[in-house]
Amino acid sequence: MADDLKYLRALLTSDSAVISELYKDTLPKVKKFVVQNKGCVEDAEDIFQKALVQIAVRYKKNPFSIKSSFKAFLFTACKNLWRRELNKSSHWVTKDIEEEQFYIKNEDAHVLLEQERLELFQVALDLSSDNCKSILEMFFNDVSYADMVKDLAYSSETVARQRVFKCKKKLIELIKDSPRFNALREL
Amino acid sequence: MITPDNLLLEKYFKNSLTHEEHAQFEIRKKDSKFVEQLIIEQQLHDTFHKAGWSFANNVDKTVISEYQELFNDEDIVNLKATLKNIDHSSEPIKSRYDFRWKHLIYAAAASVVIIISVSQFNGTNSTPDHVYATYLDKNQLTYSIVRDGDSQSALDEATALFIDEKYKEAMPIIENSIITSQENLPAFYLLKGISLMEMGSYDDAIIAYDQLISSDFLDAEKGYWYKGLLYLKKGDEKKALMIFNKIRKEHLYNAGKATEIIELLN
Repeated sequence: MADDLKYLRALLTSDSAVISELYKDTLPKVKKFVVQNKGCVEDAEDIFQKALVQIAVRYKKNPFSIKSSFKAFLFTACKNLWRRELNKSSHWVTKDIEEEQFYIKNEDAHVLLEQERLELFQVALDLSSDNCKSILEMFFNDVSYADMVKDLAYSSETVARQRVFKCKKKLIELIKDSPRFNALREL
Repeated sequence: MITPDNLLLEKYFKNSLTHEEHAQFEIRKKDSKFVEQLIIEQQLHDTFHKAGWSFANNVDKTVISEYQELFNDEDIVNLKATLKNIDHSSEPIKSRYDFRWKHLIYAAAASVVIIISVSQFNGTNSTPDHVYATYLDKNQLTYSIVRDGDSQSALDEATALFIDEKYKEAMPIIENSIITSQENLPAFYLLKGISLMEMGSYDDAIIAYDQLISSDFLDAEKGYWYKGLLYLKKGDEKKALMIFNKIRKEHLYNAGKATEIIELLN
């Protein structure tokens, strides 16, 4: 989309007039989201800047096109960054110190890869059937098999469990088939 | 009996491995294919759980270094400087500090209420109604509200009425705030639910809590906590226990307190 290219290029050329449009249009939505979810206006501003830088770096490394609009893409990036921020405090509790130091030193790169991996997983889930998508979303959000049977009209919990196993297997195959998977996998 | 890998992993993530299965799990972890499956399933759980996040650990260091270098690229450094300037020039300095000190006042008020309610609870009287009165902390809710400039006076008025237990008078203001203010919606749903609950309008209060539960807000899970308290107040111990068990099992908001209530009632 030409409109998206305009914003992507504006980031790499530091075109403040075009970038200001994003501040005017998208930042208020980000503020609303962050404030509604345990943050403050200052947090929203930080997240917004980080998301713009992150998108610029990604575009510089591998120019990409955006399926939705740039503003929707930016908003999703901000939501993800805030979700990450909320989970950050519990992350290093039992991890290796050396690994932690490497992570902190290269945090920007790690965040970027985490975002790319999330998108890769989301694309694979979107490629799954509607039924698989529904049952997996329930499964990963700890919904009980009893509730799955009720909500998705399966005949028994055993059937629901088998369905989860099959859908999960297919999802993992889709992820592993992606050319991006190797760069994002853990060693 | 050998548990299949699929089931073993599922039980691991649900924290429900038996002693034998735990031993089997440790043995299976010596198999690199099993570990690969474990890692990707962990990532899937962390990614697709609405409140979670999958952190990237132990990724190829060359890939990491390539990306990290780009953050110091000239174009990106220029962009960072531009964003800093745009931020300073175009963003109005909102009453950020104004609502922060208000938080402190409300937090202080909440602490007083907590101390009073804890000291009143002698641990022997555990009727549902008494447990309800002990665990309902209305001030805890009000201090998390963030003020926005436009509706501040209405909000202050509603909150003051709510704290004074003038629920009937507070309701129209709360209802109006739900319609007109996009900020603090989770807190408003709870203000509405608790006000209705205190007035004995249980069915309407449940609707308010369910609206919160079915929303996408990160605070949606608080709806379960207050719904559980509602059933306690209503005297429906069975339904209350069902909800508190769900909170405990799924580690939702106030899972520790839910466990206490379950122990008190059983």
